[in-house]
Amino acid sequence: VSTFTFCTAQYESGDWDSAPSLPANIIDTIARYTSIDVSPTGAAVALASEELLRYPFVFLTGHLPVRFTSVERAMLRRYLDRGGLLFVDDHNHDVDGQFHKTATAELTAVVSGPLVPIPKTDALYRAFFRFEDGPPTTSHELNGWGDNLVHPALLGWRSRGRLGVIYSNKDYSSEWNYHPDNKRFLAIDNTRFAVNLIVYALTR
Amino acid sequence: MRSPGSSAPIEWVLRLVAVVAIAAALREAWQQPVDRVGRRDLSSDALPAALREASRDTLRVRTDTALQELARDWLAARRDAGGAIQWSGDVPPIAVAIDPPREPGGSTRLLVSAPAGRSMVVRDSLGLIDSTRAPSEASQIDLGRPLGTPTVRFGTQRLAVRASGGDSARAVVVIGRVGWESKFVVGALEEQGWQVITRLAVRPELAITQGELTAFDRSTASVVVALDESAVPFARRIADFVRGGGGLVLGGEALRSEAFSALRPGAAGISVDPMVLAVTDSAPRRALRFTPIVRPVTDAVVLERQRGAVAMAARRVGLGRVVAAGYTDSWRWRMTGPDGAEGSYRRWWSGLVAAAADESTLLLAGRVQATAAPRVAMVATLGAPVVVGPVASESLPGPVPRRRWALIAIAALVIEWGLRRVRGAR
Repeated sequence: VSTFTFCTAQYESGDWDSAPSLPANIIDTIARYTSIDVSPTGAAVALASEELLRYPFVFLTGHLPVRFTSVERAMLRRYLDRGGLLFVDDHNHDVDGQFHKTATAELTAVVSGPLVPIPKTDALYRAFFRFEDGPPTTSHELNGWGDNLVHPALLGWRSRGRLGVIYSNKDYSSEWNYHPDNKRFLAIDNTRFAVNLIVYALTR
Repeated sequence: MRSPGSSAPIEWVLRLVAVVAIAAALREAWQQPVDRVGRRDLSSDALPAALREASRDTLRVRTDTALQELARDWLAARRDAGGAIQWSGDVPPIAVAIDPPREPGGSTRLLVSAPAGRSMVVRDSLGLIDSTRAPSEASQIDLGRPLGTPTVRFGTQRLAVRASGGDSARAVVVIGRVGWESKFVVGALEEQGWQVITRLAVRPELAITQGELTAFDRSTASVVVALDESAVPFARRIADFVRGGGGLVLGGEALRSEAFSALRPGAAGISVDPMVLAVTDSAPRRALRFTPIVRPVTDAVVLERQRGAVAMAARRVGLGRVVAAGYTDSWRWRMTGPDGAEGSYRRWWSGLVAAAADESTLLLAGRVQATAAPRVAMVATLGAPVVVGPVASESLPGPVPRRRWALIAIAALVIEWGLRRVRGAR
């Protein structure tokens, strides 16, 4: 049986491990809502490693500027060509920050094309739970200071009609970075969109 | 000067001749049976005109090229209506047929059987495809995706292999759990051009679906791919579907389910770990874990062995076909294999589905409706050719003698009338 293992990408630059509690929380969410055979522990795999190909879903996050090495770029390109899905989240939740600028530039170079907004009607938002308004906002976007940090859409890159890269400025890395037991304090589980991401990756 | 009222002896003779001729014609007409027919020998060129006549003569056609389908059918219809038909000639034993694409990305093959050395020209609606000489035995020509009706010309003989059909293939239904195996199987089939309906179970009472899975109906689906135990609730319907002519591909985990025991080509053994860790070009499936097929049923055909165990087998069930592939995590081949692995993985899965599908599934560029084997068709329709014998001695009297007697009578009367006018009599 091929279990689903939540995999976090390690890259040479930046702080790839800035959301250490997130993998366990998402694993808990997957197990809570679905019968997907999920590994109880996540994995962290170097972006430049062949081992990356064993994990068709990879999560990448950080605060700092991103500069992939040539080996990382080549491996990521190969990974995407094979059908892997890369989910990138900007841990800064700001607009046009350093992570955003550098990560989107790197990804654009890897896929040889721009990342484009994913429409609200995309199957991603209906893959399990329904998100009629597109990607759910995070508490960091709605911080009450009126600084207009809400990002209306995720960005994406498609290969053969399927999303190969999903890029978020929503700061899900902060939103989901807590111990799974603390879900009981939430009126609505804020990790539900993670189920859509995983189910989409496993079915498209 | 002779009297105008006297008649010359010659006029009496002419009158007598006219009476005798009329009597002879009447006698012949009286004695001639109504259904008495003649025989007409003609070449194939004259056949169209002869077929339009309402004659019931025996038709003996001499031809060195195959008769067109319409002419054959006309002759057969004429024979069935009571007329006699014979044919002779040296029609070469040539046959062409088309092997349609086995899967969406496949190409059409032309199968040719002809006397060795005969030059042949293959065309489609766009133009020339190939020009060659027939080899000593049956040959195949890859036509790619021919447009319209492919034709093959052997000298003056032109054989058409009519192709028609819809433009869409019937769907492949993939049933499995949400997971990497189902994701990559669906992806591979879609990338190869198959229309895929999916039902992927994400929890016991909930499935992620794509397309309508209302019925396992052969009018809409040609093959079911059952990947794991999530297909068990459909086992009975799948069995009916297969017995009715549908195809089934059983994945390694589905193979273990007793619900498919009547369909699978053998029982499931204990899972076998891969021989090697890395997927290679030469033997990619050696790096995959698989459920071996043990105690194969008597009609099972072993397709592949790994480590001494049967990894793949097939069998017929009712009118349908079942292909069992014991591999449980084939997706690793695509993800971790060497360059080009994604292409070979796609082709492998597409081939599995094509092997289970019946040929009529593949309504892609065009399905073949006719096989062109003109000599065979002529023998089947008109019977074996006859040896040609002398023609004139066997000819029977037709309508010409009757006309002759009538002409003699008319001529005699005209001359008699002329003689009378000459001598002034009325």
